[in-house]
This record gives sequence, C-alpha cells and structure tokens, in this order.
Amino acid sequence: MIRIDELAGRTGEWLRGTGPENDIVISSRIRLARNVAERPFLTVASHKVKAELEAQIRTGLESVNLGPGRLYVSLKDASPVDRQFLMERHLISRDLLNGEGDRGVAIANEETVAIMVNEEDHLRIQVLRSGLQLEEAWREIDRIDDEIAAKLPYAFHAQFGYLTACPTNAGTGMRISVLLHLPALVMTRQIDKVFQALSRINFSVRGLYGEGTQASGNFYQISNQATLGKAETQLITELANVVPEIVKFERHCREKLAKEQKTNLEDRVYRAAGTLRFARSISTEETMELLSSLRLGSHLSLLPDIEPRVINELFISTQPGHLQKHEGRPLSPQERDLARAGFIRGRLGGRV
Amino acid sequence: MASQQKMCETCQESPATVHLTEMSQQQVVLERHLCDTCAAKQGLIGKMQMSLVAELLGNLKDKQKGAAKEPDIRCPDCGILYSDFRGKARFGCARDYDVFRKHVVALLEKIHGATEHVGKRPKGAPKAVPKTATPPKAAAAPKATAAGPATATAAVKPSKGTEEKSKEVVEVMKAKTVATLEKELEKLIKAEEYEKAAKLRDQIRDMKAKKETKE
Ligand SMILES: [Zn+2]
Ligand SMILES: [Zn+2]
Repeated sequence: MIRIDELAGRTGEWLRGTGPENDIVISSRIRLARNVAERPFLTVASHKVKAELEAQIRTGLESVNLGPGRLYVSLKDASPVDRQFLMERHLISRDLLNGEGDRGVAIANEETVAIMVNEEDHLRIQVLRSGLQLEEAWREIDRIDDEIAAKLPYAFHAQFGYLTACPTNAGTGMRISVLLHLPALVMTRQIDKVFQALSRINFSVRGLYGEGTQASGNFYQISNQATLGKAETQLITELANVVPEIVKFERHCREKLAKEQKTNLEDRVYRAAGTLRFARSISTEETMELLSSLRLGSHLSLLPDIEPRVINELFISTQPGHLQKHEGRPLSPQERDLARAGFIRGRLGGRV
Repeated sequence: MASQQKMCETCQESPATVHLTEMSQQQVVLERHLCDTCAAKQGLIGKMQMSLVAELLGNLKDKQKGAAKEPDIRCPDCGILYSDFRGKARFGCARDYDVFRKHVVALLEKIHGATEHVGKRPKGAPKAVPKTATPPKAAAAPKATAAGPATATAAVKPSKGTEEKSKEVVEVMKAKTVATLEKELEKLIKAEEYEKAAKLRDQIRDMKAKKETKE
C-alpha cells in the first residue's frame, strides 16, 4: 500500500504522452457506474448506510486485482489540498471532492485505475490510458468489473441493465471520454463546426475538468451521451471511429497554420516559451493558454529542446492543488502565482 | 420581421448559437446567449446532457396534464415518491425502475433512444428480456398534508454537488440557421410548450443536417 504523497513525486501513465496519436489525443478513459444490489442508492442513503457501504466495498475490492501500487484515500479524512490534488489528476470527480460523509477512492497501477466509492453511484470504476487506447482500456475495465461483480453483486435489471442513480447512466453504465488538445481548430475557428457535428451524432463536449469547467488550454473531452441500447463494444467503436476524424482535421489545420501563417505561429509559440521561462508571477489561466501554444509548437518541431512529456506534466502540476502539494503548505492565490512561475522556470530551464 | 441575430454575450464576436435559461438557487431566471466556443469554454455544452433530462421530465409531466390525475407513487423500499424523482432526476433505489416503470420506459426512450439493455451482464444474470413482466405492486402514497409525509421528508436530502449542479437548466437548445423556425421555437419555449418545441427542434436539426451534407 502506498501513500498519497508518493503520487505527487511522479506522473500517472496517462500523462506521459506516449500513447497512439499523442500529439492530439491526451488520454482515453472509460468509466462504469455500478451499484451494489439490495442497498439504497446514495440519493437516499443515511450516514450509517454510507459508512456501511464504504466498508463493504473496500473489503470487496481488497481481493480484486487492480494492478500494483494500490492506494485507498478516504475523502472524509483527506485534507482540502489532497482532495484538490486528486481531482486535478483526474482520479476523483468534482462531485466526490465536494461530497460529504464516508466516501473514497481506490487508486492502482500507476493511476490508470481509480475506483470512486460513494460518488453518485456506489462504485464508479475508471480506467485511464495515454493516447488513443480505448480497446485496451475496455479490456482492463471489463476484467476488473467482472472481478468486482464476483465479490459485490450489482443492481442489475434484465431489461434496463445496470441500474444507476441517474437515468442518463442506466444500461451499460458506461461513459467513454477521449481528451483532445485542439489548439489549431480553435485558432482557425473551425472548432464550432466540430462541436456541431459531434452534438448532432450525440457526443458531448466538455472542458479539461468536466462539466462546468472552462475548456482552458484548448483541451476538450468528447464522450458518448447514450448508455442504453448499445453494447459496450459498439459504443467504443462509435467513439473510436469519430476521434480519428477530429485528429485528422486538427492536423490539417496545424499544417495549414505552419504553412500559411508561419511567422504568426512562430511568434506565438516563442512568446509563450519566453513568458513561461522568465515570468515571476503567472495565473493558472495564463499558464494553460501559454502551455497550449508551447505544446502546439513542440509537436510542430519548433521547440526541440523541450520534451513533450514535460509540457504535458506542467498542465497538471501547475494547478493549485498540485502547487500546494509541491510546496507542502496551503498558499494564497498570490503566493500560488509566484510559486507557479518559479516551478515552471525550473521545469523549462529558465536561466534567470 | 428580421430582427438582428443576437451576438454572443461573452465575446461579442460570433452570433449566439446556444440559448439557455437557467434557474439560479435564488430562483432567478437567467437568460444566456453564447456562441459555441464560449459555451464550450464555460462548460455549458456538457450541461446540456443534464438539462435534457430536466427538459424531458418536464415534457413527460405536460403529457400527463391532460390525463386524469394519477395518484403519486411511492417506492415501498426507499420511500421516494415519483414526484421526488421527477424533481431531482435521481432514483432512490434499484426497485424504483420497476415501481415507476411506465414513466421510466418513456424517459429512457427519450434519453437513450432505447429501452432495452444490450451489452454485458453479470454472470448468472437473467439473459432473456421479460417483455410482459408485471411491475411489482407500488403503494400509492397518501395525499401529502401540510405536515408532509414523514418518511418522504427523511428520504429527501439536498442533492450534493457544486453550485452548477444545483442550478437547474430549465431549457437548452442549440440553433443556428433557419431563422424563422427558430423564432417560433423560442415562442414555444416561452409558452412552455415543450412537446411541440422538442418536435420542432428535431425538425430544425434534420434540416441542418441535410444542409451540411449538401455543402
Ligand atoms: Zn463567444
Ligand atoms: Zn426505491
């Protein structure tokens, strides 16, 4: 069993930027919503029932193979900084962070597996992979789901499938999300077209940290909307078919920018590099914007001295929770802006 | 007749294509008009999914208005009423799916375009879909008095989550071209004619899809 502090010193597998199509596809994620049979949903569960459920599920999970390096974090006991830190790493949702009472998350296998306990449903099983690896993620989560089902019988209905607290998740209980970096589509004002096309074929688009968050840094999550009436593999195929189209479009726009607006583009990329390497105080918002340009430049071979992986990590490690974890104490927003600038200078080899 | 198209309230650059009305916690109705990019930046495109449920539940409610008033249904296991479910769009327990079956089937059809699970099943789970399954008996709830039914009150706790979640998006729609139909749609929504509005919305969507393929 490892501790949460050990996560801070390293990077989850999904952030390494090594998977297929990694110039555009950051990660592939599959999430299954499950409830334990014969127990009330969390909508009506008392504190006592919630505590029992957490204990029952934790015990059940102990004998499930989640991969090496397991960690369980009780959100009730976790500090605000730790909670924020876990959310920024995509290991817990905003709802679990802001929830109340007994709840937690089991994390394993270099953060590719995260199982939230007592979120909106009793279990929210998540498998994350870097790049476009939906089928691999499915094979892993399918196995884990089977193992859990053998320990904790699920609420399942012959007609409606896996029963969830919200009717939007019923059936497969599966949400597939692919996180994309689409700066060129934004710069060339083509992004609206993509959104319209996606919403027409029933995919939803959200920002880096899900609903209600800004799509800062030009990151967009594409997910399936319907969860009932189609098999898991079909839902995956549908998303897996649409992602390469978006990737192709983004690449096309990147090439176009590089050809037709070369000076403009280079100016933008190198100004971003300059600011990030020398700034003394910088907000999260500005950081995301500039890192986005840096990432684009890196994949267009304009910045051979910066590893793409370093840029990927900076998107997460410059978030407020991560900075405070790194500094080892809570920081005011102003202190964070100073710490953030210093952290980035260190990572990007700013000289001064 | 041609009134100017609204511009996005955030960037003031692109025409507003996402129009939504939200209810804040203070019950203030906020009207918002944004372009796709700004709506996505503010996470509002994702919100549509949840608002869709609210919209559909409103739609189902309208449908029932004409019919004779049905007594509210209470789940004997978790104690929630159908009206609770309609208010929060969250079930209280697995049995609710059968207790509110009639409504659930209609709702799932609207959300997913399907009412039957296809896909994996836990080992030992029944394979066949019992189409003629009779829903378990549901206890009709006593008429709520001023004091309110004690069990229901105990069962209903404020839903967790962020401010954004507590806001109820009453109506969301996406539109672009086909200006006249859109105006009509706006009128229908103002008049809370959700059923007609939903039909018109689909019609507009189809028209746009056709237009897109021609381009
Ligand atoms: Zn705008
Ligand atoms: Zn119930």
